[in-house]
Formats: sequence, structure tokens, C-alpha cells
Amino acid sequence: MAMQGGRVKGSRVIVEEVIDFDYEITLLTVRTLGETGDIETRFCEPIGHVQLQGDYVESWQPQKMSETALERARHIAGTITGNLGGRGIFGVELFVKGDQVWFSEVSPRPHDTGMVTMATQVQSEFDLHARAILGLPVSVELRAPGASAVIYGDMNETGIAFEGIDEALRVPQTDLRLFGKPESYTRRRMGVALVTADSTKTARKRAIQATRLVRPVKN
Amino acid sequence: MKLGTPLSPTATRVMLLGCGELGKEVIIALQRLGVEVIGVDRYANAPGHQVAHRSHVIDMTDGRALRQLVEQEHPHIIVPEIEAIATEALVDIEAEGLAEVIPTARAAQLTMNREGIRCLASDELDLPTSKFAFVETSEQLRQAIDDGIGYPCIIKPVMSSSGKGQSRLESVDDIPAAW
Repeated sequence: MAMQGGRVKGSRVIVEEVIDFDYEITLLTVRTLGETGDIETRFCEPIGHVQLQGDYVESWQPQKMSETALERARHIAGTITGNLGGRGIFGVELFVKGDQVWFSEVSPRPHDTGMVTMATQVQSEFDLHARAILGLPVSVELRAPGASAVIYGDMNETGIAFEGIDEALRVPQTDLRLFGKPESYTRRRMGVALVTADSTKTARKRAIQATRLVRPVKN
Repeated sequence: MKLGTPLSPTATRVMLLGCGELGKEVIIALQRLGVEVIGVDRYANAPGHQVAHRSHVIDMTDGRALRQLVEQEHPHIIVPEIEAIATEALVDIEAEGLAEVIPTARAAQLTMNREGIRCLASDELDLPTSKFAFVETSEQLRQAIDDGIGYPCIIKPVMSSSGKGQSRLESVDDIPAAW
């Protein structure tokens, strides 16, 4: 499996221990220019997520963490992004157990799990990236707790359609993104539900409910 | 900071390498600020293509094709959206001052490869990570697990986007299937 899954050919694999974490987070980290023209680093509220075989299924923001863990997470994210340098947003993936934090991966771009910020933040991770790319000021302010859940293609077919959009959008404080991918695969991410609520718990429930109401169909 | 008018000689041009759902939203965000955006992906009508000012379909792992497109479109800024890109071409493009690479060409190169980034984090920056090893054969895999990684463990291709081709090993019996 691991030998065939890579998108670029390579015969080496990484083997790593499974950390018995309480939860995993994405810490979106933005590097842009401050007033003095020097790089400033800003951290979004932590995003919790569930992954299945390495693919994200659900995410929510903010993920509650201890102050020590949050401080450690920011230290790790600040260190790795500081070394990579430049301007833009970075998705830093971390494992957390109590006050302990481990670095997992970093991507120097918006992160899948960060799509939730389209609902939860004043400036989404995409707005933040665009601004940081241009060296403009950013705000990482949270607007409301929220969640995202993935809508899969459920079939191998081109030019599919989606039914139940109206029902999904009747779920309170719910929005959808349908990506418009020309070809659907069973496990291809075709869209996402974006939800806000008073708590991430309610938001997660609503997001899952909304994705279940969206039905991919053959045209 | 000055931003021009798209599709005019004053335009600020940004080239997105990768036009999936994330790239699409980046393009929209840039366009709201009046940036001219060129969308590139390996297949036609990708999500980002549907909103970009101009679209191109190329094999982004082909350094020559990538460079040719950059010379043709003259972007000021290149924004990689995926890992599978000829990042050595981006290093040259940045070094020659043809375009700026976000966040840096080195970051794009380091992060397309799990080995580069893990060694940087763990060995160079001394950040806490899980125990890990890089292996090329099932024999080396077994050895690395026995030498301290233990079960359960996860194997992932060194070159990959997140998640693709991962498997979890619960015991020595899982090695043949995983490999």
C-alpha cells in the first residue's frame, strides 16, 4: 500500500510509532509583514480534527487545550515555520496528550482541516494566505465556534449531481461548498459542510447532519 | 504596498500551482484584492480553473514544462498548493529572480518530502516527534520496528501528500501486506 500511494515516485517510506494522543490539532500559523516591515507570526485558534487513514473527515475550531499545551504547540509551530521562512500560512499538525505536544507534519499552505475557518474566523485561512502572500496585515480573530465535515463522491463517475442541498441548508447556521470537481471517486472529497454554533459539539453534530442530507447522484 | 489592475500592464500576477478546492478559495481571496491569478493543474476544469483569470494544464512534476509556463506568464509570485511539483525548478526560478515562491522555494522542496521535514524538525530543531525511521526494504522495516519503534506503527511514503498510501501495522504479520 505505502509503496503505491505516493503521488511522486519514491521508494523510501517513513515508519513511525503510533503516539497514544488525546487529540490531534492543526495550528494554522501565519507569517506576514508587520508595520515595521519585519515578519510577524500569528497563530489561529487550534483546530481539532478526525482523520481516517490520513484523510480528514471532520474538523472543528477552537479545540480546547491546556495553557501549557497551547504554549508548547505555538512554540513548535513558531520554530518550524520560522526555519522555513517566507510569507504565507502554514498548517502545522501536532499530537497532544495532556500537556505534552508532538510535531507531526507541516504544510506551507492552507490546510484541508482549516476549511472550517470559512465559517469560524473573520478572515478564513484563504484570506489570511492571500494577505500574507502580499505582505498585508491579518486578523486571526475567531468569529464563532464551528465545524466542518466532508462530502464524498460515493461513486466513480464524471459530472455527478447533488440532491438534498436544500435540506442540508435548512440545518441551522449551515453553509456548503461544492468544489465542482469534474470527476467523482468514492472517497474523493467533493464538498464540505461549514457550520457555526454556540459550541463545537453542536456544530459538529450539525455538520455531520448536513453532509448526510447531501446525496451524490448520477446525472 | 501597491496592487495593480488585473489584465492590464499594472497587474499584480500570482500563479497557483494546484487548483483544487484549497487553491480555488485562495484564488477567490486574491481576486477580491484585485490580483490577476493564473491557475495551473494537471487536469482540465479543476475547481480553481473555474475561477482563475487564465488556466493551464501541465504536468507540474515536469520542471521544463513548469519553467516554460512561468516564462510565458511572468507571474510576480508563485503559490504552490500541492506537494507534487518539480520543486528544483522552483529553486532555480526563485534564485534567478524570475518570480517569488511562497513561502520559499526551499520550504516547498523540504515539505514535499517527509524525510526532509522530519529530519529538520527532530534532528536540527530538536522538536518533539514520534520515534521514526526511513526504510527501503521490508527487512529494514522489520529491523527498525524491532529496534525501538514497536507496534502499533504507521508507514507512509516519503514522497506524498498527506494521507495517501498510509498503513497501520499492529504486528509483524501485517508487514507483508503493508509492503
